[in-house]
Amino acid sequence: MNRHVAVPGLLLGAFASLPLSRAENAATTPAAACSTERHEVFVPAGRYEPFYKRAERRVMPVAPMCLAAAPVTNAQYLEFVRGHPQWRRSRVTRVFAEETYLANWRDDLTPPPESLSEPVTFVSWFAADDYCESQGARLPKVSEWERAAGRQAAARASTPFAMAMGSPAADLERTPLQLKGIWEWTEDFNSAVVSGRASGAQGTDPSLFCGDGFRAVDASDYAAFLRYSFRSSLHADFTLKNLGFRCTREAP
Amino acid sequence: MKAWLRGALAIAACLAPPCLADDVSARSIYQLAATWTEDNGHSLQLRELAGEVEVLTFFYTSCEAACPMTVKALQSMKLGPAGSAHARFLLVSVDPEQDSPAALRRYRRTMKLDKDRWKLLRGPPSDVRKLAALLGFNYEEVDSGQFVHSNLVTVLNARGEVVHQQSALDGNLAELAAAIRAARTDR
Amino acid sequence: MKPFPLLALASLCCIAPVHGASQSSTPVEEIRGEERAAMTSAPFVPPPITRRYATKVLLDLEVKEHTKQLADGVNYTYWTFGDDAPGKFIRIREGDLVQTRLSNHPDNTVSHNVDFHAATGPGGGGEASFVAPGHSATFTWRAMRPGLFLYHCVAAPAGLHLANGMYGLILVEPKQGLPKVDREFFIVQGEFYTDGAYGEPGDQHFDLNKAIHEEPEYVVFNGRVGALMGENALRAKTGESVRIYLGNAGPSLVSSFHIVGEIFDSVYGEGGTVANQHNVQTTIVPVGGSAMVEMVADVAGSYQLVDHSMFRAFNKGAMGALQIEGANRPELFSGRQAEEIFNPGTHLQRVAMVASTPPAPAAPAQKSAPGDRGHELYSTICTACHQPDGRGMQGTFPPLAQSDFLAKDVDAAIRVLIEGRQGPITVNGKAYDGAMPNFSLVDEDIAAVLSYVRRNFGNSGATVTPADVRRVRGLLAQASPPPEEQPQ
Repeated sequence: MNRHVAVPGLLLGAFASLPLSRAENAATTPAAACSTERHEVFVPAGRYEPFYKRAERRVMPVAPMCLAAAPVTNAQYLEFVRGHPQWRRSRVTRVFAEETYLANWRDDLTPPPESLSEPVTFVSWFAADDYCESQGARLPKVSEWERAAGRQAAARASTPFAMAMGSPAADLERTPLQLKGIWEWTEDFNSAVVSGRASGAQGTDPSLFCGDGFRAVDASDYAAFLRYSFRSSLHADFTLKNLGFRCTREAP
Repeated sequence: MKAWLRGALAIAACLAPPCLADDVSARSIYQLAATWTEDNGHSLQLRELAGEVEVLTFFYTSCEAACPMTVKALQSMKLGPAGSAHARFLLVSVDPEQDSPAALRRYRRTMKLDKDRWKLLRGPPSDVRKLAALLGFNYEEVDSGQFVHSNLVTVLNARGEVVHQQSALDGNLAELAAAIRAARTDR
Repeated sequence: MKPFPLLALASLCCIAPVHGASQSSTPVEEIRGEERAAMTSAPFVPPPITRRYATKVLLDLEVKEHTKQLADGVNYTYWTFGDDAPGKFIRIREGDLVQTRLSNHPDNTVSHNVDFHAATGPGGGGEASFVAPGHSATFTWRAMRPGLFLYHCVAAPAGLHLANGMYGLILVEPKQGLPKVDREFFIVQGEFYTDGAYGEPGDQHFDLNKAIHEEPEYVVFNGRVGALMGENALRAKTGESVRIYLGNAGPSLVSSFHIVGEIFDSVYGEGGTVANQHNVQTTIVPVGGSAMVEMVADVAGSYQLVDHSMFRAFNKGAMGALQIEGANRPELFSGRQAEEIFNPGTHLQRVAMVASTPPAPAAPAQKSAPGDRGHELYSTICTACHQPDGRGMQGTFPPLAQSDFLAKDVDAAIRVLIEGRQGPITVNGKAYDGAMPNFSLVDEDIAAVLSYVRRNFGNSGATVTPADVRRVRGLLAQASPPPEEQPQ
């Protein structure tokens, strides 16, 4: 990743867990380049059609990636917090995470014991972003997440929230890619096109609410409506009960 | 000078960013640890800007409509003689790939941006994304070098806290000017 | 409260400043003081506004997602403003400045917002109020126009939020208020699209396919089956004036609101401020719209409230009740007064008989002359029972052909035509028991048809004259009090 690393960043790196080196993952096939120890799923190159049409309707290519099979767990996040004290609940910078950061943890270093292997929630975008960086990875973009998991669920969902989870793409059915009943942060959740703050039009984007139906590629995909709508209501410092994340990195 | 020294000392004193310095409060966006490059090649940390009111907006040099209009609007704002003398503007590029320091210098010349009052910044894409997230600014690259984005202008007080936000293109420049003046008096 | 999200929202709202000089051409009333919004749960409304000035109204709405009962044994996960669907009825005054805070409970799963149809501004507030769970947003709008308005969530996809119960009514009273009435209620009609059929017990879930096809399983008043039935029926006393505030949240079906046995004295069509129609039986309530109806409870009893699309009322739950208590008023409505057997006897049997009897033997041609009144009468009145050939029907209608009855006593024959005849009769040695109506013929007609019959059908008898008929009428009058006029 192309980063300018300041002096404090180097100091930080000394304490952080080191990302696996590429050499350890040298492989003959792309799929094998993704790490099974890190529970990654190889997602081949694919396409993404933005849910909301643009003037120039473009299907975007999505590069192959090694996507985490499941969202980051409480146990994994605990390791991160141990090595990154600035992300402990008692010390976190308020602009980077709101008051409910890790609200369900007993204290700085004690996640709920019954949920150690459940997705960590009550984490902000800044926290998620920093975690992925510390792993030599990043948050998936909306296009990447949707390409991997945005397929309409085949079975009838019990609630709109469950409906909104989507399901793994057809070519990922045989993989261990799991959706765990939570919303997930994406790198570019604050893309202009899904937000009422888009430019282009004079002032506000009138299509965001009632006019959504005819701007959407598939107006019967209510699950997608719910995901995009939810993302557009987020601010980066939000820490919510049912919002977690997973990381991704480009496949070599 | 003094602010720069204080900032550097604060950084050195930290184990890891972000950390609190005297002039940077808990709600300051200057807590974002990132290094930016100005069009003159200098490196800049946001906390060095503490002590003055800053007006920040995002742009990219090949933006043809909204960005030039915003810059023109900011230039035309009536802040009074004292206000104009002290007004400080930050333009942060969302397209660091295209907007090299040289491209930024060209832009400064074309738009006639005063060196003392206007800073043009570029930084790594991840830091741009973080700064935008702090400010609630939305943008997306829809095509190579083409962005869709909101038109948000942010007024930061001397501590780097957001005190006002609006579009510069909705005809309410007087409101923006008033917010800048108010931020200056609240030191 | 963090300043910058609020400011960010404020910067993106297109609401004209309300202080100082107005940017619009509508003159703006001065605001005095502030108070909490008056709100009540269904079906009751807050009392009428008494203040004569515009004020700042503080309105707090909290969104909850929770499971409640939709019908007996049927549960559904409602999304509601406050605790119930419909949300509370809000009552404010024209010109009020409404500072609205929308809170999204942290346990909720999705983001919500609110659109006030009473607000003028982008999205009716939808954009300004859009919030993720665990957060709240505040925005302020001016009630520039009076009327009865819906408010509802409009977050994408809006139909889903409506179909889950996120709606309510807000009344903006005109400056001069509304005419005073004794009782006020509100009813909001809404639909539910469940994967199970109507009445199927257990936890039911939203069915997108049914929603897109606009085929709800439930069409209900005030959020659930039976919300206005039994002990929850609306109540009034005779003589009281009643106003009902109606809303229709849809999301699909227009309502044809009717109160069985009542007439709306006044209707404020589409919830506007003019009582633009009077004496209305059924009024349309558009989806996303409203209406107000007024009536006086004149007659005591039980009155059904329905969407007159009748299968919705019977099979989907669009039914409620209004109980009016008080003294009876038989001069307006008597209720059941009499009960009796009704047997005009023959109409259906005539048809059946004609169809099933074998063809009649050739009858001697009847003697008739052009313009023969007797023939004309016989053809129209008598043939149905006595047949064109006069043979009648076994057991029921005696024959006229070669009838000993006709030959024996002409006065008896005339009497039959004057009074009709019921009960057993023996003609030509056979018994018959039927009912012959009184055709209320005039004397000339009785004479004509009887004469016709007596010179045809193998009968022989002298002509009957109108004078003969009058004579028999006189005999009958002497024998008994004049019979009452038979109903025609």
